[in-house]
Amino acid sequence: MTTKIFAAGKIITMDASRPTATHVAVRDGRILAVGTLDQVSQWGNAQVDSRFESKVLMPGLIEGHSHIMEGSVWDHPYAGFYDRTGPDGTTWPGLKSIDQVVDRLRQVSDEMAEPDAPLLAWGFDPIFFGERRMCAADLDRVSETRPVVVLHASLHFLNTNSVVLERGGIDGSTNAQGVMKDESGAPTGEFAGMVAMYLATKTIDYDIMDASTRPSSLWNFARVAQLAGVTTATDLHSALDDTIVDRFVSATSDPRYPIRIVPAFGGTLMAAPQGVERLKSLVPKSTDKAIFGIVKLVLDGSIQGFTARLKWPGYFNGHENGLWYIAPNEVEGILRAYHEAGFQVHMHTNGNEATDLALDAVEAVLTTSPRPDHRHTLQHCQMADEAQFQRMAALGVGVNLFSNHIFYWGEAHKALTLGPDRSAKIDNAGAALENGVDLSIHSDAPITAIGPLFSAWCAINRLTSEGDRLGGEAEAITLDEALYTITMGAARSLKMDDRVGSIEIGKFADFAVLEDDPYEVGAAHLKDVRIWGTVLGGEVFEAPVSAPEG
Amino acid sequence: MPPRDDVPVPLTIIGGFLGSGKTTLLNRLLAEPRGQRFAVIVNDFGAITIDDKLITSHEGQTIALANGCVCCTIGDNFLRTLLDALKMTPTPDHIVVEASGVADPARIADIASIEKDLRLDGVIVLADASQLIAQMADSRLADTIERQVDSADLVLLNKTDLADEAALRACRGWIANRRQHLFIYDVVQANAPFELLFGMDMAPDHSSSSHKPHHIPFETLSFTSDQVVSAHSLENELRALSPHIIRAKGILQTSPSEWSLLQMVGARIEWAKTPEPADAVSQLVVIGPTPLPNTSALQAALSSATP
Repeated sequence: MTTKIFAAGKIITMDASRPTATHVAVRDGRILAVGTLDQVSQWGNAQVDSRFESKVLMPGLIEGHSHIMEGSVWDHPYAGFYDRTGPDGTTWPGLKSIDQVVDRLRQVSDEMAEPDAPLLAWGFDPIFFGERRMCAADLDRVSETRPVVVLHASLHFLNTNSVVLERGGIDGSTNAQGVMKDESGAPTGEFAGMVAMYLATKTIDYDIMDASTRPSSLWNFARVAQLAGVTTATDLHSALDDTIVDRFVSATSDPRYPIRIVPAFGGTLMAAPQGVERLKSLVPKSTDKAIFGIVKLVLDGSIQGFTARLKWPGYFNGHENGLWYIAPNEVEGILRAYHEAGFQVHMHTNGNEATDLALDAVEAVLTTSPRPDHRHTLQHCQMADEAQFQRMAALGVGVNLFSNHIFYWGEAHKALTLGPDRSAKIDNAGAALENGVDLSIHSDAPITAIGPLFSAWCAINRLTSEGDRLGGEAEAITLDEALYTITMGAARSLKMDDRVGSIEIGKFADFAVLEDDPYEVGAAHLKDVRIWGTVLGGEVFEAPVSAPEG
Repeated sequence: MPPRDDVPVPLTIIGGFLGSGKTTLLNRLLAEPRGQRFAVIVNDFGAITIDDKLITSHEGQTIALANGCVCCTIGDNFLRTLLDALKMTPTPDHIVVEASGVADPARIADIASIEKDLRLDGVIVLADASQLIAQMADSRLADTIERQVDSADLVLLNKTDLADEAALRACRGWIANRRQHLFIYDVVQANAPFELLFGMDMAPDHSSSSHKPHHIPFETLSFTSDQVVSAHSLENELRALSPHIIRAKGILQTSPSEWSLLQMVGARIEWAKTPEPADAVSQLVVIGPTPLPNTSALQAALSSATP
């Protein structure tokens, strides 16, 4: 029985009784003691590890809403506007013009052996290039022999080259929603919605869910998370068939695997009674690092894709209302099945009409089947207003807000989707806390990069990509609150606050190791805090050193 | 996927809100595909009832039937399932997709316009006559059902036995008000003739009509012509007869050097190039509920030679 004491420059514990410390003792992968060297030494013989003497320890950060697909997108070149760090620590510089996108992809294409193998890139975001839209002619400069598909960051849109147009028989006579055309009536090579998803699926010609749970993808996912100081991350919608469950259990059982994974069972992938039985059979397969038992329901689409369900007055640009992904009159029955079986249900509700529907369902279910501390949680919930936060509080419902949206799509929300009033209140973390709602915040990786400190920065500063501040004091949260949210808040949202989320005796020895003290760096620069690596169950995981890639 | 030389596979989307009868329709189709090898893509196997004796294999998300049909569940990836259906050997004669109860079937139909290997045959939308008026009064449901009806080539007003005359009138009135020229079929147990829904390539129905209560009688008429046909005037005549004819299919000489394949479902007409038939005679077949309206204008349009 060995005991190790980590000496740190500072330990931010998230334990109100002892907010900071300098030493933490670890035994059997768990926290044995927190305090001064003298205090933690009283448990007996221990080895002191001083490598963090000039660093800051926090509880391992928790990403409460991400997708394992973040691990497989790195099989393909990144084409986004902002710098993004891949699993090996390489930072891919953001591409600031369409020409830069074309140049990077042409380089990748030139290095590919087969001249007609498809090339898929991801992360592109046209909103940063003003009026200039990417078109097929741009991507023909990447290759005129292979299909080239560039997925947008939102995953709802994509661009193709002419090879894809020709192979699909897509020309001026093609009439379908989502096929963008220029003034002359010719398709531009940009697609939205169902047709976009079809072309992407056809082009890559593999099963994205299967690819995402391959061992290499699971490792890539963990590494990207670890680079952001994350020790527990969700895969917030999974089929959890036998193959996938085995892959999760097997990958995480490797002592070198650096994170805990919490997959959510896709609650509509089978009829609810069968789903309940399926999930019951998975719970005993949980380990310390692969935790089964939460459910995900997707009620509507996304705001920037105009598929979220909005209440009156609807979309700012007059777009028709979005889509239900579950029949509204079925939500209560599905929720009831999982609720009565004792499971915690996470409901994706981007628009406020979907949020109402989810709250109606929870209220109806609780009225007949009360269950203490169910902690059902609304995910994204970007448009919730005061009345809805109060209902959440009254019903014991938590919320996990998509704070990164403020930065990445805040400008679009002001101008197109919501208009100035509602965008000022988007992802209203201030109101959630004010009303006593359990709060967490997230990245929805791969939609945006995983990074709880960045999400916290968004929730505090509420700045768009153009530097405009959405809302005021009422919508913002403080640095203290934000740090709590990405640790204890997220732990509570997964019902894991007994095991993770703070540096307290008995919890897993999961730490984020920071080069800088968030309190010294300050709220305005929180996103720039440098991350050295993590500790998981007492094992030290140094992040690969970042090397810029051309 | 390598480009294929053969003709595109017809795609039919079955839409309609939860409980409107989509599964009932598909169960009948799988039991009685009348010589066509259908690939039917459903949301889940839960409500699909296939006679065990008919099942030749059941692997994961696919059930193969002795009658040549396959039934696949969407699982967690509808598009993957559709692409797999297109790649089956032999290629299915017809792919039928059951849209989810909240989906807009037109968005699934859009796929046919960007996939050379698919041809949209039709969008069939079912509506529950016993629920429709109540559903339209629910603000959370109304626009979803409106979009489904807006996307339809043909509406089956189902469960008419469960609605009284006033309710039926209200349903028909609401649909007609939204879609003036749409044909509304009153059915029970989603029992509309397959020829109307899935085309005229189906083998004749030999089963006794006594097994088909509420079956709607329909007629087929054929026209031939040895003249060059004006596509424009023929389209006009066909549109004038819509919604009384549900479908039309023709192989027509549209210029001295060109033959065209015409397909009409509901009010939607599509043309494609086609090789000259062996007998070099233009032929048009139309189908609709009995009695078909006066079609002499159609014959006239076919017979009037174009300069």
